[in-house]
Amino acid sequence: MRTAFLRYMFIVAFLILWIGVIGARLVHLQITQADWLRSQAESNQKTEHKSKMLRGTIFDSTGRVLAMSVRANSLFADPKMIEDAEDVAKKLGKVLKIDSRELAAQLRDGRENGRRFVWIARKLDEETFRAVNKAFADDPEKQSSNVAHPGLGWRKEQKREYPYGQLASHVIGFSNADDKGQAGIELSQEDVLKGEIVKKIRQRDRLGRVYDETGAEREPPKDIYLTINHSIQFKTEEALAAGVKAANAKSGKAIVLDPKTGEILAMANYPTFDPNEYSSVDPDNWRNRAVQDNFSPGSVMKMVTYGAALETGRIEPDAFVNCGDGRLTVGGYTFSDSHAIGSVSYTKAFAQSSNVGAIRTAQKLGQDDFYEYVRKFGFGKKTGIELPAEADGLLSGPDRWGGMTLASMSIGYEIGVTSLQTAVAFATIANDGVKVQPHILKEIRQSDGKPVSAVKPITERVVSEQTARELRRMLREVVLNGTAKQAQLHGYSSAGKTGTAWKYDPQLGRINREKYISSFVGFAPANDPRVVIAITIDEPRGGLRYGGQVAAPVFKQIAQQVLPELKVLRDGTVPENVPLFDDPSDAPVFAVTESEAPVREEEKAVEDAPEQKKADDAENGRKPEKQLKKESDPEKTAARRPKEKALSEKDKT
Amino acid sequence: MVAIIEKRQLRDFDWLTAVLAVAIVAFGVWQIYNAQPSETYWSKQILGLGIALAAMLVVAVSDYRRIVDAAPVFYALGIILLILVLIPGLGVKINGQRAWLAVPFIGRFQPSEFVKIPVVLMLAKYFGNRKPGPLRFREMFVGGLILALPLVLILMEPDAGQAITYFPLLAVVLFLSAVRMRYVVLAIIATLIFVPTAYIVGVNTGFIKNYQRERIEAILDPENADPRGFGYHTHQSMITVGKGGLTGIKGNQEISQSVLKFLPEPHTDFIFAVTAENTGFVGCISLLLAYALLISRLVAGAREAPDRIGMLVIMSIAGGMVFQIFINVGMVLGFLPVIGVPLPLMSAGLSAVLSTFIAIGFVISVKMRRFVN
Repeated sequence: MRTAFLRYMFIVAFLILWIGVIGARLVHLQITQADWLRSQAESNQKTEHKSKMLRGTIFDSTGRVLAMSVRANSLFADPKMIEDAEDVAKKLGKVLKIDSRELAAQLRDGRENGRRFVWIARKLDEETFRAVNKAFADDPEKQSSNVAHPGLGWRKEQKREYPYGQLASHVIGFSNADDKGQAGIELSQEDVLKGEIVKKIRQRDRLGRVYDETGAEREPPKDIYLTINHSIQFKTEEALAAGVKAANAKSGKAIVLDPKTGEILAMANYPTFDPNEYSSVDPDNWRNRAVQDNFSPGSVMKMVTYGAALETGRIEPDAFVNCGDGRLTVGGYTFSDSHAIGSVSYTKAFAQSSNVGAIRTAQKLGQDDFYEYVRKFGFGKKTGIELPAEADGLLSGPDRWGGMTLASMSIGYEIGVTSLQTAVAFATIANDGVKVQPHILKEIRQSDGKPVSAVKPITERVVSEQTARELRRMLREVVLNGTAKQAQLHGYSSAGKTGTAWKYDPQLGRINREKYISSFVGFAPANDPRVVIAITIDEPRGGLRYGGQVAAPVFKQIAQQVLPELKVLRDGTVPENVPLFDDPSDAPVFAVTESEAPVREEEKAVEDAPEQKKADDAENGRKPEKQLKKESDPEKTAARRPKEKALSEKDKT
Repeated sequence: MVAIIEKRQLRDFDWLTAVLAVAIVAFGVWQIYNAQPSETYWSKQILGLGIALAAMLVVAVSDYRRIVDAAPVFYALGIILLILVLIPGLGVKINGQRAWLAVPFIGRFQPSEFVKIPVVLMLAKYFGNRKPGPLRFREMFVGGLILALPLVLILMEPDAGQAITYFPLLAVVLFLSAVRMRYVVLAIIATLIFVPTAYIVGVNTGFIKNYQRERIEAILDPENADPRGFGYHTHQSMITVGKGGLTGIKGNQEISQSVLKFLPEPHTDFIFAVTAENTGFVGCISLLLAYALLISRLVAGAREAPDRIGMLVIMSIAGGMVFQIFINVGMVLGFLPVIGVPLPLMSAGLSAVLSTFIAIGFVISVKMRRFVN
């Protein structure tokens, strides 16, 4: 029995050993590793459910797609799993048309550094997707939705497309590779457009059935309808580009605004860019200068000066103002007109863009009243447009003004404005004195087309209806007999104000008399305005550089096309034949050359042909100097007087 | 029959063993409920316990020698059952294994589980009556034959896991029947050589199926095992065990791995993982101690047995149990590949509980009759 006992003990010893091992294992699993294993279990059970829906679409006001997202496939690699980096790189290089040596190095490098995820190519189209799969398939005939190679895989992503290319690119902006808006509407409306990320913590079982769900759900992405009209936008961009090129300018901006609704029908910048390839463009070009950049408006500002004076009853349009010898010393500085126009009506002083006239008008107003109206017209604060990085403008209060500030500001210096602010100020006059907050967002709709919200603009009366009417008449006079004859339209009456300013040079710390910023802000038809168009040409470097020369023709070209498109009835106005050189005008700031264009009776009847010639001149940037000299002869000014009445009568018809 | 039990017999009735076994089953029922609260496994297990207790009492009060004498009859019956289960109309196929017979009211019955008892009886009858002295080769061969017949039938089901549990029955009997130590050593060496060889050959010839290979590799090389593939069971089992921590999860606040179906077969093969998750380290060690106590009672009973037959019956059954616990717990804790071996007394399954209680009945019967003759 001793053997039997030993054998029993053998078994018992074995059992004890086994229980010891099991016990040790239990300690290891349940005590040492418990927390880690618990977290493993939790990560199994809890899944962060992310479903990304397609980013919302951006439409223009007519329902054309300006920006949309489509599904796309992105190729990634797990370098650790790729043993034959050279082969893989060679195959991929061929299909994707990328440098295979670089790719191979990237894969090897990733492998050495233990990286498990590397993008190879993102957002490929369907064709490339199939080509990649085919390159690795065993059976090339078979269609596969996978790359048949370890360590390579697809990830579903979305790709942003801008079907119209550079059309309205500064308004739309663009979103980056991670579908995040970076500029324009894409940025400002990020929350609306954003591909929904429903983030849910789910308790799930092995088969993925959900037991419990916690977490926040964001609202689905929505579509955006802009007030932009693709056709008007296109014409605006075209005209602006032509205008900038003709003036050999650095850049340009144009805004087309509906004064009654505050809707922006077009907003253009030049040079422009294609948001489909935003990364290949100088980021400076992404700026929507029309709302982001300040500039000195120059004489455009006189509209506010006269408007405020009319509204407060300080002046009458037909009352006389003594512009004397065209020189006026304020705060130790002498402001001057290009030439003396003597005592003229305010209307005429305005039409001739007399600095002295404007300053005298401002002086009648006084600092506080003037400042109040500048603010009321919307300067020095954001318009509230739904675009990112809008500038406030630069406007300091009267308490910080110097001795010459009132005078400077009345003619558009010592103040920074945006193109949009000028457009809104003129729209206020066009809309009988009621300022309408501009907007570019028309409507937000759910993806099923159900409207979610429509923009209701804020309105504010700035000046009385009567003041607005008087001011419109004065602005009309600018086009008819003043500095903006180039803004005359065929079949439509128009009105507006030119401005040519020296640019402030931050490097010099003062105004640079070599650099101009020339603008024209106007509207049409003059009596019942349907569009307000603001044109700004930055640094025209050709022979022509005044607002009336470089900006007004752009206004004309846009208005001429847009008005029929908006089904605005012609009011039968026929433009005078005004040669371009005839319009030296609107003085850059402190030294203004005012002149008056003599209108010859016979030319009034001439229609398209001379107009065309004039446009050609503008495009070629020619400056017929001889004629300029002749036409700016002040003697002829007097001869023109009696005709004014006739013209304004014609207007009324 | 209870009526004829004498007072002395009642006194010698091994209450502790019986109560211990019932306690383990009761604990098991709780864990089965934890594993599958929405299913009826736990209530069926209670029903099974009742049937098993009745069977145990019948066996306990019977004279085990008479039963062992009738071993060939039981053996033959067992073989018939194993053949019946293979017939497509009769045998129920689950997970690719035709291992169950449908039984009205109770559900399913697994002959391969149950046939262990006749095999043990047959082995005990054959080796218990032999003359003393070292085992002869012929005797070992006969022992092998007794085992081989049901084994082949079980492998035809095919149920490799169940087949494996038959080996210790013979091994224990041979070991205790004075098999020469050199054979034991030889057998161990042979196993050490044969198993890996067979594995490699099996893999290369395709005899071992892919899923089986992956399960084994999940143990050999857990780092590289695919936790979503065949390493899944082991991976999830270890997570479940570890999640239990020291004292188990708080049932109401956490949904267990098994309820969420991450743990496969939680009520049978992986019941130990469920126990670990719900009762923690404390529960596991308690359960293992209960098993150790039960086994030690069985071994003690075997030592007190009046004859070799009684000793062999008890030891063989105990050996089988130990082996199953060994394999099952090893599998749950990630030592061993996933093989479908239930944990005795804990796993849901009528057949397993019944056969284990019949075995305990034998132990009680043997112990009750230790002073007879």
